[in-house]
Amino acid sequence: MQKQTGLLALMIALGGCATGYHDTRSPIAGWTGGYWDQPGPGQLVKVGFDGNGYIDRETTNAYLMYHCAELAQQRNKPYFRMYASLNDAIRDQPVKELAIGRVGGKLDDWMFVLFDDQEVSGDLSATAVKQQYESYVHGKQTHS
Amino acid sequence: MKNITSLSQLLSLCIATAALCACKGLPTYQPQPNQPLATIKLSPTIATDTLGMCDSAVCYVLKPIHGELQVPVDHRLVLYKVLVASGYRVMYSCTPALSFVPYAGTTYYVDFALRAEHCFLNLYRENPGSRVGIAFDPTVRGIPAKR
Repeated sequence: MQKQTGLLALMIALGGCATGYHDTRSPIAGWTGGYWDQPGPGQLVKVGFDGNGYIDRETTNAYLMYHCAELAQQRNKPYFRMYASLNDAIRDQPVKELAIGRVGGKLDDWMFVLFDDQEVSGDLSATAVKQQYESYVHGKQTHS
Repeated sequence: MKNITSLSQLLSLCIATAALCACKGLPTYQPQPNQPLATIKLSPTIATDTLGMCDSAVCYVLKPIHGELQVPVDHRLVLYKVLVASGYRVMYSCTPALSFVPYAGTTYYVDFALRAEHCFLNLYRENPGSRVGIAFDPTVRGIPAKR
């Protein structure tokens, strides 16, 4: 009974929190959402962030950008480019900003990402993006 | 009864029929032995989901095997996905659909996505020669969502 009460309290506590920077597969925190990625098609990776009803648009954007940069560095790729859709990827029309929208009352977004060894037009620097959004993920949030 | 004058009306009728039939369940598509088929690879988002297919006004459920579907070839088919999900204090649903003409030996790629209260079903041809792995299929036609 105590265990069930504790679990219920934990769920209520998590339910009242904005989604943090963590994997959606995270056993407890993932209940509120988080980042995710899926391979394909081709060399593309679909990267997304699922927020809950408490996270704001700016933070969702920061987390998603930061995770793309992290994935690039995990692959030893200094650059990446983002496509808003597969149609844009086929046409090679990358975007530099995201348009985070609501789905079912929750903020989330996704994009397709290509990682590059050499900088080409439309690329973002993984190092620069991580620096730009570092404070959202690890530091004190001084953003208004 | 209103005359059906265009392909989009016919396709809309197929979708409506499929939606109505969903109450009792559509038959699962079973190809004939030695029938020429095309393969559709499903994106990881929908790799285990069923899709709907309407072939000459008869609709079926397509069940994936290892993230792939098999469809008949050489004539126009309607492909659609029914989504009903719950969100933050809301329920939402959508049925994005498209039509295309599959060809034997061609592999297709289908992706489903939700963004900003809209849902999308897109179909492409596989193109292993490019970094993005896919190309536009010239036979694809969108079917406007019912409002």
